Amino acid sequence: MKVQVENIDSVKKKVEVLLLEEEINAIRESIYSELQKQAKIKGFRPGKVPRPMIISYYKDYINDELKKRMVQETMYEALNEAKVNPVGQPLVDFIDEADRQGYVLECEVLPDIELPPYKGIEVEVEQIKVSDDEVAKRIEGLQQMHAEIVAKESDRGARKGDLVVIKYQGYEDGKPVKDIGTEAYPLELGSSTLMPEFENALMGMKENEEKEIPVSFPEDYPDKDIAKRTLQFKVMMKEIKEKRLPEVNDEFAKDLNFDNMDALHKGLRDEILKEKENVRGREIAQKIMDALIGGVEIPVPKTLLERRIAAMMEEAKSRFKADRLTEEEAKAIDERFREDFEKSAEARIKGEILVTKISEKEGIDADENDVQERIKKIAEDAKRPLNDVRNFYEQYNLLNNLRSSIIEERTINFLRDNAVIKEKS
Amino acid sequence: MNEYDIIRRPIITEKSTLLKDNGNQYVFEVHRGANKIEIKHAVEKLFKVKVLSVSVSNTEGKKKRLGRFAGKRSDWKKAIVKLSPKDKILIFEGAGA
Repeated sequence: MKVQVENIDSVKKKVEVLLLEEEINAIRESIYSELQKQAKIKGFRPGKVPRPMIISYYKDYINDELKKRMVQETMYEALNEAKVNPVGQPLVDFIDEADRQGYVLECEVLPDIELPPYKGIEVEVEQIKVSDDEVAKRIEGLQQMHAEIVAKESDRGARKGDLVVIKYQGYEDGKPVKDIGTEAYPLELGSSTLMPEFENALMGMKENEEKEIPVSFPEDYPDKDIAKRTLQFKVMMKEIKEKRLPEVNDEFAKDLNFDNMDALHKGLRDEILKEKENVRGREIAQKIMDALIGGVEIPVPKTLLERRIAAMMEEAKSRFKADRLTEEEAKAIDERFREDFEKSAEARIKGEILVTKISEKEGIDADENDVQERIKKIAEDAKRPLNDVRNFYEQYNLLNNLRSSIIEERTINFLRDNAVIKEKS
Repeated sequence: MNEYDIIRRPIITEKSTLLKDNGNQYVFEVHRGANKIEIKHAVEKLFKVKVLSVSVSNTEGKKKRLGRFAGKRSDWKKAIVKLSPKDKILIFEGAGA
């Protein structure tokens, strides 16, 4: 086997692999002996067909198979020898000349780049502060979460914050509109789930009161059927319930597993602080990456880019519930998002290339143990049996992805530790 | 009767391959009315080879039945032709496939 590498550009390489006569013959031989065992030709018992017959009967198959195996059996070795590490599948082109037999691999590779200085990057971030306001908001949220629902005390009308049950039917030109109407619809007033004019009209209604409310739907109303139409709604207030918020005191704090109000305040403050630190950690990482990417020219391999964009599109579509999209809509999404995706995919890939190179240079690695640890953690977080999670990862061949994501994480941590972080005062 | 009517088809089977390999003998289905001399001439002319000897045998068609209908495949004549050691017929090497 003779291997020759030719650089086409920084992300493309051509690897020419020429095979020796003996190597090719060995492959040919193995194809023959396999065929000989299975070949069924009339007039011969299986396995007893003479070789010349096989060669002439299965000529095309043998040729295809020979090419396939040539690549299969020698590509890995050849790439190793050439020290080429392709991203994605290489394109294969066969050479079939009298004295030259082999193939040419066109590979896309990660570019060899000059690493920009990656230690001591200066990053400016906002100071982390937790205001009393934020804590108060958090407490309010808790209050809402633990609200009790009780029947209202007096015969008052509905007001904001009440939970009501209404019965309604929509009419257009005096005729009831199908599908717009229901016997009992639960609603929290002031939550703006429905059209605001509708909700406003409900305020002040008493139980069993009936009312007609005209609503004109705007053009961009999500439900296409009734957009731009004006409907007359006959509404009956069936039930009004009050939401009673728990009082904020030590008792409340104890329900939430804190000793008293002070502990609750402190706990919430810590929680918010932690969240903000997390957010800031990501922000710092992002800023470091931005600075790194900005500081160096990185050519991006095209197949890698295309593949990434395709994956992002796929994901976007599945979020849009792709099965409900018509072909045209899917196409529209393709076109609309392609440009955005291309940019972010490019940035991501550049970042990944940088991280890979840096991790190589710094000797940051992850071994089997780290991967297993991570799986354990994922299982715990997801509250799933450890074996299920492990099988899942093995089944879909994701262990390597996991490993590289650990390396990426560690590299980014390394970068962050080595960055100079300044807080804006 | 010309040569193409006499020689019907080559018989390529394990047995015939053995004969070919061991004694340079080639097996054909031939016209039932043809005799050894006609076969010899026909093979020499068609394949441009020298024939040393010809053996023939009549092969009875197999009796076949499909449900209640009994039938019989046609009888045919088999010729085993021995060629001079220098000659060979390429169809038997798989060239005709």
